[in-house]
Amino acid sequence: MLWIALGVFFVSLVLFTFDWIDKTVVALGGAAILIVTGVLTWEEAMMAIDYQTIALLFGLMLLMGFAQESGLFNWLNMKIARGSKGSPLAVFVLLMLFTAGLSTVLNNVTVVLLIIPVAIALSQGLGLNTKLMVIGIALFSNIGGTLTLIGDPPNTLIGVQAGLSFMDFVKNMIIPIIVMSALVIGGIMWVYREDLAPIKRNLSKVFLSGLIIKRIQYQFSGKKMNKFFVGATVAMIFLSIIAFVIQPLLGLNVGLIGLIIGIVTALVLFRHHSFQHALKEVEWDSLLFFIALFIQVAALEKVGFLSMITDGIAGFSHNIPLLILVIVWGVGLASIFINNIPLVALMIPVIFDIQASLAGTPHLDLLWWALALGACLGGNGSVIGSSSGLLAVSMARKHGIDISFGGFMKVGLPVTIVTLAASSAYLLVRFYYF
Amino acid sequence: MANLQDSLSRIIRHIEADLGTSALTDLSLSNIIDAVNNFEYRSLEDFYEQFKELMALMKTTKPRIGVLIFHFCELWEEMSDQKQGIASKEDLYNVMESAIVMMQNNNRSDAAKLVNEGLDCIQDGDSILIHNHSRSVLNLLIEARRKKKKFKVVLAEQEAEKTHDMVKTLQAGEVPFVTVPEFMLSHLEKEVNKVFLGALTFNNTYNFVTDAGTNSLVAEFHHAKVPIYLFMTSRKFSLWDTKESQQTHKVTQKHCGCHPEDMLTYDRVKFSHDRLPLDLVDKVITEEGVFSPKEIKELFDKRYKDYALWRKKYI
Repeated sequence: MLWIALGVFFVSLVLFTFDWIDKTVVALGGAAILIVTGVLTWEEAMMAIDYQTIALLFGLMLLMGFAQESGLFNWLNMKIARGSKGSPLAVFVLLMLFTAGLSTVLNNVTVVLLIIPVAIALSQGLGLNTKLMVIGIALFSNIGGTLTLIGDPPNTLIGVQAGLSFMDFVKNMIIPIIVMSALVIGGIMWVYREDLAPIKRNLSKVFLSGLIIKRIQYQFSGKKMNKFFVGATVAMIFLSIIAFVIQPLLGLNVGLIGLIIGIVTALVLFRHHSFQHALKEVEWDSLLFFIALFIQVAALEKVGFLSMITDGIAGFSHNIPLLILVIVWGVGLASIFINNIPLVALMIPVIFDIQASLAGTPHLDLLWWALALGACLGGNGSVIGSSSGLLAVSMARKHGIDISFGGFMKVGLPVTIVTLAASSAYLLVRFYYF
Repeated sequence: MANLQDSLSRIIRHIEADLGTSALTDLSLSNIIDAVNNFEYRSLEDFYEQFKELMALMKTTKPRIGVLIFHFCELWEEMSDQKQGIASKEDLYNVMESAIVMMQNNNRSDAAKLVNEGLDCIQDGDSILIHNHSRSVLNLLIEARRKKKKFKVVLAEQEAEKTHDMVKTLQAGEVPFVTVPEFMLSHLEKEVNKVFLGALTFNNTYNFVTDAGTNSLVAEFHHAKVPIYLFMTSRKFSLWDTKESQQTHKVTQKHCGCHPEDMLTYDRVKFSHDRLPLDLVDKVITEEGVFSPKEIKELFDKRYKDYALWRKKYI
């Protein structure tokens, strides 16, 4: 049984990494094998699914489907393009900050889908370093997503299963995210200073950038926006953030809050965007992927593999700072090549076990933040480390911009090392001084 | 410079394809005002030098947009005339802005005159074939409909986005129409009694530059003796020597043909525009009236001669 469970999980990991077969099909196939071979019974498999996570993701996907249809994000994109006035540095900084900001409440893949077309239009037209823009957006979607419970799937998994609230994430992540965003933007500005030099003294470039921005304006504002639709969408996004912030006071779990948000949005906006259509925008494959992963990890837990890892890590040291570093760097470096979602799904029970075995030791909660930071930021190391990286590169290719594996790593790997180092420093300061 | 030239050509092609030449011109003129405002001056001389460089770039875009080059030269003239009175950025901005607003108003007035001149070309019972993405033609059809003329339109489908935009405009203007794939037009040769077209420019090779696909369509209907009407304002005349390579842009791209059974990848060649010889056209309508090909040639030659001095000065 141990070997079947291990075999299924590691074959799945390899297939997720190389993306030869759709990852959801792989995960579901693996889950089916585990049930058919008797590693898990049907009942055990159903019990293994974390319905809270699924409900939260489903509700937020519905909300974001409506938000996208309202034209709100296109309008924001247009404002960014206009606000930059075509300055390469302003284009870069605004797009990176917008990406990071949007990623705190939106799925990273959706953020990349929304921003890359504008970034390519602006940077290609202005003769800027388009590859840098595309890679930067992929990186900042992961950095921004690290801030909140709903920003990145690993965080959602950790938050829901460890019972951490939206505000727990914000309070614990805001400092490292701000510091590392500043570090990464500053570093890129320095290394690529020639690419980001100002154009204000070149009339032809100023004229060209103006034309590009005007095209982006009419392209993205071409669709008439309905004031009620946009207003209600903005209100729902704010309400959902408030609901997540006051979640402990409400006494409702985050899954239920997510579900309520999705359903209320559909009820309020059904005249503007049909529910049937909104349902089509839900990423069903991602939800099924999560369901299958929960089953695969439950199998590893049942056969005792997770206890072996826990014993290995906890036996390796009872020194919390060392454990923090092992988790940040171990998970971070593994996430460069391995999909971080299964990795986190695997690590959550391990961390629970470590916490149980070290019960009474202070600062055990830091292990969760180590896991979240390692998993979310490690994915930046290579193009296959995160789905936003893969999507950004494939969207760039459609526009004739080829970003090689090495080309992505040239920017992504230093950023990963800097952000993992910053995360380690932050967690160690937290351990020793707070 | 080559990079800048390519980028400028690309964005001009895109805007022209999205909105048509008149809107491209209007948008570019407004953009000059914004550029003057956003440009960081070292000195006024620096500005004049850089404006000359921008003018040179505008003359090399593929395709060349005659009316835009014309306006850039007009602006240069205006600045030169008023150079003595320009002492600061504000002065320069004011001179440019008032000149550009006047140009935009003139263009709008010419476009309105063109529609008025064109109205007589539509009679009750007409079946008019349109194809290229011409605002002039669409505005004319909408105005004719508003004046209760009874006619119908056959819209030859071309690139999906352009066709979609034309359908939207015709529907909004309540113009009755049907669409037909452009490769099936031979079935309509007897039904259609007029072909209406617009053009980006008309140049000294006596070719119009039009949307891709127009040439073969016009040739087909010219052969079937269906009269071809072309609508454009005379400001779109390109009064500069034209090289063939400057009229169209060729793109070869890897194309992925998606079919339920096969995914095929192959080279696909596309062109941005067509060259349409004047002798395929029966009437050219400008803001100044309706011209035969011979008359329009004479009008063009006269303008071309009048601007000989300009060409010397600005090329």
